[in-house]
Parts: sequence; structure tokens; C-alpha cells
Amino acid sequence: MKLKVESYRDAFGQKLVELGEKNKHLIVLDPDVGDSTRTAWFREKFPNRFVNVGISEQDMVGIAAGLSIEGFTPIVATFSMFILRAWEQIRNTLARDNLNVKIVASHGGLSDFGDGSSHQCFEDIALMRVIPEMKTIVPADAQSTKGLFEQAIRTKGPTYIRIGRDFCLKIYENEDDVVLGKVNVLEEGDDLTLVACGLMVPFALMVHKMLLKSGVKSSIVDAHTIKPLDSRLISICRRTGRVVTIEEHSVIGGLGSALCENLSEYGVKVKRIGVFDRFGESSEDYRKLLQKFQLDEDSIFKQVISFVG
Amino acid sequence: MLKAFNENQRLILSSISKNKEATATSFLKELSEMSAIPLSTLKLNTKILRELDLVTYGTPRNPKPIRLTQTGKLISDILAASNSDFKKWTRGKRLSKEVKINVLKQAISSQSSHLPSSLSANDLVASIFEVFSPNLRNSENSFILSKGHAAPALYATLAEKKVISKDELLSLGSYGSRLQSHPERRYLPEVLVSTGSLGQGLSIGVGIALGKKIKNKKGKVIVLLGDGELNEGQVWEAIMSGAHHGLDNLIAIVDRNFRQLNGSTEKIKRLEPLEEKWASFGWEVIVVNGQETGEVVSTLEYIKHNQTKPVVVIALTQRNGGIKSLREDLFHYVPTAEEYERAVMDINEIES
Ligand SMILES: Cc1ncc(C[n+]2csc(CCOP(=O)(O)OP(=O)(O)O)c2C)c(N)n1
Ligand SMILES: [Mg+2]
Repeated sequence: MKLKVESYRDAFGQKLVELGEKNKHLIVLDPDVGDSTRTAWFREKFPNRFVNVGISEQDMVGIAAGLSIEGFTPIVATFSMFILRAWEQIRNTLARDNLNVKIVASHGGLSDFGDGSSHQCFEDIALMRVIPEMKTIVPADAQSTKGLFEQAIRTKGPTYIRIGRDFCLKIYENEDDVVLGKVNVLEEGDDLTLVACGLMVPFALMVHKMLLKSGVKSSIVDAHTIKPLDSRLISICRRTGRVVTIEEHSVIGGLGSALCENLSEYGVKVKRIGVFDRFGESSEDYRKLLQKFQLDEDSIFKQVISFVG
Repeated sequence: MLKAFNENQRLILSSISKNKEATATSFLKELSEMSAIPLSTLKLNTKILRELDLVTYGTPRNPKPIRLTQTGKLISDILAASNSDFKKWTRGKRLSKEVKINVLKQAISSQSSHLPSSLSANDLVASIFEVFSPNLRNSENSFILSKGHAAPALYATLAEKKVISKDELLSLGSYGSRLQSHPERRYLPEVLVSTGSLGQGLSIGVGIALGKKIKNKKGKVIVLLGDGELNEGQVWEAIMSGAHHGLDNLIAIVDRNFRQLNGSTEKIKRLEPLEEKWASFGWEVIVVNGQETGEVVSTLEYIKHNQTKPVVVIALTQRNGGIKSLREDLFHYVPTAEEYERAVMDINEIES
């Protein structure tokens, strides 16, 4: 299966400029990483609605809160690792006051393979989804990054959108193939359900094919909106009775945990695949790290097979 | 200037300027009837004004119209100009006194309020509302209580502004009350920004001020911080942001009581030289006696009309709010009934 390679951050950067043309309330705050997050493209186009606030994430979130009180829709964008420095500001101001600020967190998971563990983030989904009012979104590819970002802008309230750096694989044709809050069932099979988010969605599609060859029919679900979790996902999982979650995030607190929390009372067996309570490390190659962390299609296939027995 | 003349003298000066050639006797008689001030009082004060060479008039035998001298005219003009300030000044004092008493009442009813921190901020919050009426409907000004634990001072001020009732004040922090122990916008929109976690308010103030600038909107943004709160690094990020963006609509006020939770600010993490620190970050610094409502009000009035960059007011305060019978070294404290009575007497004394 050959999927077209695209870039998460480029998709975000393009969409941001496009929305900036239409929506004059958008204002972008950048803690000095705009070239890396691609908000630089917005900066070139709309310098009056772009503020490099300096390397000060906590101040940035406060400023975003103030701007939203004044009627703007602020977008704050930085690495998923670094926005966590402002977790308490996000919790205590953005969420408690239900302010209309959108956080776009790039370089999630292992996607910043070159920079090592200080930059690779497996904890953000857990930390965001635990906050009341905080919508938590992990798009699977470039089109859905664009689509979900635009829908998030149209939906009031604080929202966290986690994307990778560059490498992503095309699975959607159109931006509106995804709807915020609704899971996408990409394949249907009765033996088990693979629920994934982010880059792990195209990987799950590859695993689906591999499983078919072994006679296992799987449903594949893109759970891009981790919070609020679509209730339909729960019924899909209950129907197949067996579930595997796959995420480029710690198995503690992420998509897998969210599903377990919702399924535990129904006696559905859930296997969580992700990062097992450890930090990242440097590599010149993303794929090598995915293999080491057992998040490439072959490793995922093996884990699923041993689960279904 | 305002204090140099009593109310009667100010009334005489302003009335003479409108007087058309009446003699002193008939002018004062009419004024006495209009103002219900005894004629003898007005006569005495007019004499004082003549001794100061501010007015001239004749004698019963040689009657001449009562007039202002050149200096009298000048002073009368100045008084007219500062008259609106004066009204705010006296109203501010009255407001601050009411707020103080209601802060004490809240402490007793909740048995747990941050009384000393609220008394420390009391005159500052009252003055801010007197000058700017922020956060109220149709107000263009915004106020953030960054030291959210002084919520009782904010609530008592909002009660004076009729946003909440005085009865409701007594529900502070109790189950089901809108008056959360630390202010929350979800419960009370006039709070504007929920606080309670120190160090975050100034950044939010920067955001509001920046938003107003970009939209070309009028209005000031006032943020009240504790001095211990300045230990937080985020405050200094925000100080840099305020200066960098030249926010001449942003006013920080530091409640400088030299105390934080567990002791003296200077022993825990030295803040001095505090003025120099703010100044070197590019802010204009004004130091005031934060327990003198009049001084705080006129300073804020001045800033309101003359601001060219971000301004910080370092307000020297005490945790007892200037109430002599209360200790000024406590963080948590609830007065007994007798202590309350004593404190109210002290308050009446300070304000008279
Ligand atoms: C981030 C944070 N840390 C700690 C506290 C606990 N706390 C509440 S008040 C206070 C002392 C505040 O001192 P200061 O800012 O000087 O205020 P004052 O009461 O003297 O006006 C502390 C440490 C808090 N509310 N927020
Ligand atoms: Mg203090």
C-alpha cells in the first residue's frame, strides 16, 4: 500500500493563511518558533495580526486570554512539548473561563526525531484531555488537519490540536471528510476494532490489510477527536468485543486510556499500543525510532496478532 | 490646594465669580439662603478670604460690589478645574470606608477570608473603581485582580457599585455562593478574569491592552498585583511585553505591604530596589501611600489623562489597612466581635 507523503505543519500553515483572509478576528501568537510551526506564513501575510511574544509560553497564553476577552480568536502555536510549560495557565484561565483560544501543538510524538527526548512529547494528550472544557484533537493527515482546524475555529471554546512535524500519509481526499466530534470508520470488520489517532491511523490501515491476509477482519476507526469522545465509538467497540488502540503517545492517559475509561463497565477487552512509560531519543530517521518504539506497521501487526491469539 | 480651603470658602469663591456687582451683604445673604449655611459662617469665611487678598468689598458706609482679586480669580479657576477630582476624592474616601467595613463583615461571616490581604488592597480597589468604574456594564475599562485572594475587597466594592447586594456579601465562600473564595468569571461576569493562582494577571492585562490598541479602542487596563506575587517569573515576562508593545493603556498596581505568605518579601526573595527594577524594564514608576485613598485617586486620575507608556503604581500598604487596632503581620486572621467593634471605631477615626 503506497500512500502519498505530506506534511502536517505545512497543511496547518497553509490553512492558517487561508482562514486569515476570511476571518479578521484571527490573531496568531508565537513564542519565537514561527518558522518551525509554519505560522511564519501568516506572519508574512498579516503582520498586524501576528505577535512574536518572545520565548515565554506562559505570558503567551495569558496574552491570548486577554485578546480573546477583547473579541479576537487567538491561535497560539508551538511544539507540543513547550506549550506544556503553560499547562496551569491553560487550565486556570483558558479552560476555567472557557475562552475562545485555539492551541496548535506541532512536533507531537516522535515526529521531532532529530531533537531527542527534550522535544519529543508523549504526555500532552493526557494532560490536555484531563482539563474540563478542553477539546482535544489529533488529526490523522494533512486534509484532516485543515478540516479539523477550520471546524475548531468555528466552534467556541478552548481547543488543543496536536499535529506531527512533517511526515504524514494521505488518507482523506477532502477537508470535510472529517467532522469534529465524530469518529471516522475507515474499514469494517467484525473480529476486532483498531482505534487510532494521528499518524497511527494510516499505519492501522496498513495493519488492516496485513490482518486480512491472516484471516482477521478488523474495523479501523480514526478517533481524531479524543475529547469529547464520540459515543458511537463506544458502540462500535462493544460490537466487536475486542479493541486495540494505537497512538504516538504514552499508553498512560491518552486515547487508549480514554477508551478504557469508557469501556471498562462493558467488559470489552482493550489492548493499548503506544509508548510504554519512557522518554524519547535522537535519531536521524523517524522510521528507525518508530521501529524501536514498536510503532511501525510490522511491530503493530505482531502486537495485534498476539492479542487476538 | 483643595485641602487649603474649607468647603464654605470654596463655595464663596466659586459663587463670586458668577456674581454680578452685588454688595458683600446682599451677596452673602442670598448665598446663605440658597445653601442653608448660616450667614455668620459665610461672613467669617469671607473675611478670611479678604485677609488672604483673594476678594475685595466695601464697608457698610462705603459699599462696593464684592469681587475676586486677580489671585482670587486664579485660585477660583484652579478650584473649578479640580472640583471634579475633588468629588471623586471624597467619594473615593467614603467608598473605601464602606468597603473596609464590609471586608471585615465578610471575614467574620465566612470565618476564613483572607482579611489582611484584602484590607491591604482595600483602598486600592476602591480607588480603581472610583476612577475607572471598570468591568461594569458599558465601561470601557478593564480590571484584573491578579492577587485573587483579596476577593473580599473586590466583592465589597462591587456591592457599593450595586452589582451585588450587601446581604450577598455575607455568603462569601459558602456552598452555592456566587462569591467564590477566589473570584470567578463563570459565577460573576464583573470579575472579568478568574484568578487565584498568582502571577498570571499581568499577562492577561497585556493581552486586553494589546487587543484594545489593535482595535483602536479606548479604555485602560488596570491590574492589581501582590508584592510577593512578583516572585513569579511570568510577571516579569509580562512586564517586558507591556514595555515592548508600548502599552500606554496598561496600569499595574503593586500592593507593596512587604509581606507574602510566610514572611517578609525582603527575607524570602528580595524585591528591592523595586522601583529601579520596573523602571529599567521600561515602565514609568509612581510611588504612593496606598492607604491614602485621596492620594491614590488623584494619582490614578493623573495617569488616566497623562499616560504615555505602561505605568506601575507602587502603593505602600499595610496588611491591617491602616486600622490601628489590627496586627499588620498576619496572613490569615478573623476578628472577634470586640475586635470588629474596635476596628470599626478606628476606621471612622481614620476617615474623619
Ligand atoms: C501560584 C500560586 N502559588 C502560591 C499561592 C498561595 N498563596 C496565596 S497568597 C500567597 C502570598 C501572596 O503574597 P502577596 O502577593 O504579597 O499578597 P498579599 O497577601 O501580601 O497582598 C501565596 C503564596 C497561590 N495562590 N498561587
Ligand atoms: Mg504582600
